[in-house]
Amino acid sequence: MRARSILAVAAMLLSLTLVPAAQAQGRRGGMNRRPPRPEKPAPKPSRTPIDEFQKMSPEERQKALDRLPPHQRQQVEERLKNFNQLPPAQQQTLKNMYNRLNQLPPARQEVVRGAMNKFFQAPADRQQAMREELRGMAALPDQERQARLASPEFQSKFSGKEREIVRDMSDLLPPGQ
Amino acid sequence: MKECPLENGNSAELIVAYGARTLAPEVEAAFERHMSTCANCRELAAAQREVWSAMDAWTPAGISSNFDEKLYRRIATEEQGTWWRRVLRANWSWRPAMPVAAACAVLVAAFLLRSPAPPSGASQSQSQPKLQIEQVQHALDDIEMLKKLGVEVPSDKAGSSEQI
Repeated sequence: MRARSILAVAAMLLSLTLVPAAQAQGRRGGMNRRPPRPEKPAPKPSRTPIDEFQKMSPEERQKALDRLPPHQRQQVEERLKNFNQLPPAQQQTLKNMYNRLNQLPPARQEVVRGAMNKFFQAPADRQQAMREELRGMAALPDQERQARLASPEFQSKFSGKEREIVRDMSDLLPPGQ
Repeated sequence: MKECPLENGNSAELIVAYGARTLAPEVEAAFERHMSTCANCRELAAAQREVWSAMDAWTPAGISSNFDEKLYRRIATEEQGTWWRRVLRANWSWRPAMPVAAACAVLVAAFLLRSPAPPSGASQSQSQPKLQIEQVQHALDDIEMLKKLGVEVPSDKAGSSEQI
């Protein structure tokens, strides 16, 4: 009788402690959480950390910058100034590409960043060839992009390394129509 | 009896038994022979005999004829007392109560831990910025690299274009 009472109390305590923990884990993105699956990606791109920074009050911005050593703070201020001097359309384009990059899984992000580094190491004429290929692919629907990547023309135009760079960097392109 | 009982440590049992007259006859005779030469034992034995004599002379007070009736009435009165008196007089054992006490303690702790912390409001947002400046640095790194690509692609919005 006493053992049954203790078991009942223990079961009650477990339910009181584990259920809220599971709920909290679900709120934090735990394994049991059902991920929201919208039919299509949200048309409005999420804001970048630069947007967030520029939305802060001057005092908050200063407090954030004060956490950096003086030379780094100066660099960040200079880079932000340069970005803000770009035409608004170009700023938006860069933010869109940034968001596409950062919406990829972390491992894939590293692959794409690696492809960009390889791109910059390529000779200027090869960079231009790859740049034009990406521009052309950006105008294509997704299926045709894949077909282009598999096409003999693409295969013959680029080396294996260049094909890999273009293929990886195509993740930065806007979704095909 | 060759040795004095007071010296060999057997005095208490021997003298009490002597006073109660429960010693074996030969032991009693030997002890009496010893007492004829030992004043200390003689004195103790005499005192013990006096105790037994006094007890023999005592007669207990008689009980009233309705003793049982009064006793049961008093027991019934005690049983009808207030609950808290019964609780206080109960012969408590704390052992069964320990799991219940522990459960209560855990419940109180869980309640306190699950209670949301009071919002610290503006003071927290002022003391620590929500956005880490390192995130801004990383975003600038990415954006500057994307800018260097120099790729012109159609915009997400139809009818316009993205110029890098």
